[in-house]
Amino acid sequence: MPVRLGLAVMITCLWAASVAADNFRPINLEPIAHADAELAIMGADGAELRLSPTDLEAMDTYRLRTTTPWREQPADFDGVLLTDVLQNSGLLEVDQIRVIAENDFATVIPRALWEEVPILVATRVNDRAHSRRERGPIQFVMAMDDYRSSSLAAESHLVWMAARIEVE
Amino acid sequence: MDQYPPNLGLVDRMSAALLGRRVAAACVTVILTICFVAGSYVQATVNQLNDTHQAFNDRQLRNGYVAMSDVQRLVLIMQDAFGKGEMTPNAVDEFRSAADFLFVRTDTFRRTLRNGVYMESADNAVAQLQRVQDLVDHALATNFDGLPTLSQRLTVLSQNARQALVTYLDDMSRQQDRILIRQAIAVQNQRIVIWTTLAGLSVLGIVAIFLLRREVRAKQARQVAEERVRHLAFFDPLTGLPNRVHFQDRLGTLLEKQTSVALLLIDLDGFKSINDTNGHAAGDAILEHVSDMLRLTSDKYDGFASRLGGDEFSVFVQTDDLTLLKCICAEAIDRISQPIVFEGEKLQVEASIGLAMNTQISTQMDMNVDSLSRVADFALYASKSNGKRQFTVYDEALEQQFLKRRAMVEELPRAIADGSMEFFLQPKVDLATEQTYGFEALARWRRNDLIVPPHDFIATAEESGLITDIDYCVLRNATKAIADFNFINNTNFSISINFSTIHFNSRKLIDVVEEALNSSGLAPELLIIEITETIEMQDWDQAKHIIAAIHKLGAKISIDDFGAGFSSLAYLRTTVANEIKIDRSLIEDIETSDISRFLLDAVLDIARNLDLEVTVEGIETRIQADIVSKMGANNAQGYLFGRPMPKEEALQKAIKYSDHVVSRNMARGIQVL
Repeated sequence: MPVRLGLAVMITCLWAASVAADNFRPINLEPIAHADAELAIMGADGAELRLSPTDLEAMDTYRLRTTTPWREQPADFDGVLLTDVLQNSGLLEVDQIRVIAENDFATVIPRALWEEVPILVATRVNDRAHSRRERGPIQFVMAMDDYRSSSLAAESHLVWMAARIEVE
Repeated sequence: MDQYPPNLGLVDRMSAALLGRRVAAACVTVILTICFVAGSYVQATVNQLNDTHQAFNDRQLRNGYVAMSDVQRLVLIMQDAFGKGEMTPNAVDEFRSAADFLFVRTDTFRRTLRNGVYMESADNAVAQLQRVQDLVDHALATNFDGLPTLSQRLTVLSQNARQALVTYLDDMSRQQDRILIRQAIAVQNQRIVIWTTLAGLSVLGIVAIFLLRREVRAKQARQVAEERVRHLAFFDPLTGLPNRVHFQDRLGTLLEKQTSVALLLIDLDGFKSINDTNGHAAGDAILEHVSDMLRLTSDKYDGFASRLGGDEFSVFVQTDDLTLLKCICAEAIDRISQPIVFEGEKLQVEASIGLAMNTQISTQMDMNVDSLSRVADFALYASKSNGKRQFTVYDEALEQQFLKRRAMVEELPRAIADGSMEFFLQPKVDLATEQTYGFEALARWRRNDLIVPPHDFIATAEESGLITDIDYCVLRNATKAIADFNFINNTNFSISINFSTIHFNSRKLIDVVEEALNSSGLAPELLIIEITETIEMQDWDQAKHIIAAIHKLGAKISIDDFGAGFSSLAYLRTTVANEIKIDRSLIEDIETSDISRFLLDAVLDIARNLDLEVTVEGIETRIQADIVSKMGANNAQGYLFGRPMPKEEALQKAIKYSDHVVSRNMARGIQVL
């Protein structure tokens, strides 16, 4: 099992890296003040991990330039990959996760989706801390081309004000 | 318009009509049109439902409800602060958070509506939410200065927003109902279209399957028929053995490969008798029995048995081991001779075999199926001639005979054409006066200045079919010679010409006789056509018509070799003859045998009763002549009165008595034969 897991992780990382080479650009982010927010992650063992935008940015960070259904003009989104977040919490191999927003909106993301389309957990937009009025402070973002071409991706997966991740 | 044969049934006519090019094209067009129309209708319905889905989705409803919740949250925080008289920092944070929620919600609401169908109530709801948002932002910007007023205004604006949202949600609910009804109707219509389409296609499918099945069955029937035709082309339907064509193919292939092949030609002895006596069913049973026996023999020796036709069979084996081949021949003869029981009666047939090997055939002959068959047939003929129920191996001695015969067959047509085929005359005499009154013309072949006796070539001529030409040649030449002689010498000699029973199967004989009489000028009554029974008469009716026609020409009919043939009495019963010529076999021992005398007496009595002239053949002694004369015979022929001799010699001898002949014939009113 660990061998399989390692293999899967490696493949995922290689794949994510190749995809990142297309749309996601690794970036070093200088520390800035973020809005008060937390992404609580319920681990596979039941432990809860709370990550602020600053905590999230401690992982490898990437920049994605794209539009969203609510932005006609492209914007630079900075943040971490969802796969990195899930791997950090031991959730990379679960079948699906439930993501809950601050306003109690909830959606389910299947593993096939994050294996097919890289999802950025954005904490900054256009070099600024992500505000709630811009659908921050923590927002799930996909490259618009990937979003349109994927048969699995839906608008509901682009969660804004994300607050919690649970195993479905 | 297509025309169909009148004997076609209704179903066949319908099939033909439906499978006609125009009708088939029309059916395909109709099917495609139905599918296109049904598909278009379904696609239009799907598009309509998609549009409806775009215009109306759960997010719109959710926006309304969540926006209402967001507004309510702001109102509660504000009222709580108003009740406490101040906005605590926690309350401010909560208020700001709720304000952010409302901001995003209103923005989302606005964007969602922008992509959908315009609704006034939706626009109004967004406008009311924006007013609330403006007030909330103002409160945050002014640090909640004038809290009571702000609270009061927020309450009013929130109520307006709630009313606008309720109105919007009611509209959405009604629209939802309409959409559901429209969808239900669309689904019903789709169902009708689909059922109609399916029903139509099902009918067409059933018809197509029905026609296809018929076509497949017809094709199968054709294949069976073709297979049967193919089988019939190469196999004998009665016995199941390969037929002559198959035999020739296989044997030809083997001969081309120059492998050693031995051919056994088998002919049944007495088969015709079984056919005539026991019927054709019995004959068929015999043929099947022979086939089974030959199949067993050929299987045992890895040979190939076939039925060539009638009662003629063949087996060929790939070997030149003469000892083995003799065993095979003997075994085949033994097996065939085993009796069978047919309808309670025991039947038995014998077989004669001619055996020939390609390795024994002279290099003078081309090696092919025909030549090997011919030499095997020659060996078979030898078996038949030597007493039947035996086999004969084609060897050097037979080959000499065969080559001689073949040379004869090749030369005979030339001999007929160049006059080498002559005729001798044997006198026919009046027993009372012993004067010649006529002659029998007998064919002789002058070959290399030697006269070939008839028994050396007549049989060959008969086998090869050349006897017809020889007989016609003798007829023409003899009638001409006698007519000329009679004209020059003022005589009335008659001339008898032998015709095999073979001639009496074709009306050509009538034309030839007429032509001979016309060209020679011979008085018709001086021409006697002798029916010489070389083979058994096959078609009595045809023979009867031909004889009647010859009578009509004025010529006479004589039955040659009476008493020795297959069906002497049958000739008397069937034909109108003028004369019978009693066979020499009845005369040979007439001097010593009471039975011979009794038989001759009986025949003469029959002739008298039927008013027939009688000529006794084979008179060689004076005693024989006296006996037959005393018994009442008028005319005779034999060595005593003259052997067959060249016509000049015969006529010169006869001219001495020509005066007598003329007067005698005239006295008989030219009734003498």
